[in-house]
Amino acid sequence: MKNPDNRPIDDLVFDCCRELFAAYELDVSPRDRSDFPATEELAVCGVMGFGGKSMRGALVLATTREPLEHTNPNGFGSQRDWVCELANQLMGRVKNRLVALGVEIHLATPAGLSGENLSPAPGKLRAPQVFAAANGFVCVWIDCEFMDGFELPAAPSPEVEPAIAEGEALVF
Amino acid sequence: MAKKILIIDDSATVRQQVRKVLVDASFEVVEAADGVEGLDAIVGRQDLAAVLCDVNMPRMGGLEMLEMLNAKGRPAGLPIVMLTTEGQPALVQKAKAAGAKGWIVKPFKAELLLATIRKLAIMEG
Repeated sequence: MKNPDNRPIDDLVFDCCRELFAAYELDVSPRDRSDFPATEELAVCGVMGFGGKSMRGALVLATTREPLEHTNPNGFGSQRDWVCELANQLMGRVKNRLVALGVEIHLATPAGLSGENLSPAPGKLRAPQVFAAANGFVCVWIDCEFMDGFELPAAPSPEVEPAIAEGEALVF
Repeated sequence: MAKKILIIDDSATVRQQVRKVLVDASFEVVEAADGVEGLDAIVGRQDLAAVLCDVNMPRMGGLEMLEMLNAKGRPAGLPIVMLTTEGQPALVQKAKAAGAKGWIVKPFKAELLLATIRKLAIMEG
């Protein structure tokens, strides 16, 4: 396996992140990596592992307190539980986009991770995407490996039936 | 008497969010944290009007729970609606074939979730 050029997958995650928080009526605007919050403001993050024949890796979502409070205004559950669920919903969107590109992955259940200095290792991994949101910050990064010879398709596959859209409901 | 809805999800936050929507609409709510607890909450009881069930959960997921329910014998006519981040049509068809009556993709819209439950719970009640 090899580490890919992350720009296509980063762009996909970027779009999914904006869409996810828009569903909670929260606009997120991209910021420079230098705006990555101080570590004491990112006490916990949600981690979603994934794997498939073509690619495998993990997505990490970390936020300061404000976006969590905005998206869960009643304060249900713990912040740890809610950031895990947001990571789950974000990775679900990413998966739906990948499936449309003909890439199949399977998701693990989300895990919460807390600690000090939560950020990707500098120099080796790609930079996290940082968004300003609700007077706080949302940070997301995806770390993945591709099978040798695999490249992320540029356009959806016409043979793949579109996923049910997020927020939609079907009755059989 | 208020209709009773079982919500099965490994996220306590999601369970409470759904609980609020349903309780505000005069439903009663029972909770379970995974498919194993969901199975225990369903088998042998007749007072549930509908079930909302996540797909990806530790210990036992929602689709596996559906299969186990079919094997054990679930309450006649109990509608089960999947509430999940998954949206692939193949998975939806798999759930439908296993007896699910609906599919909602997270994040849910309260009005759509309520409309789905009201339609199915009334149909089966």
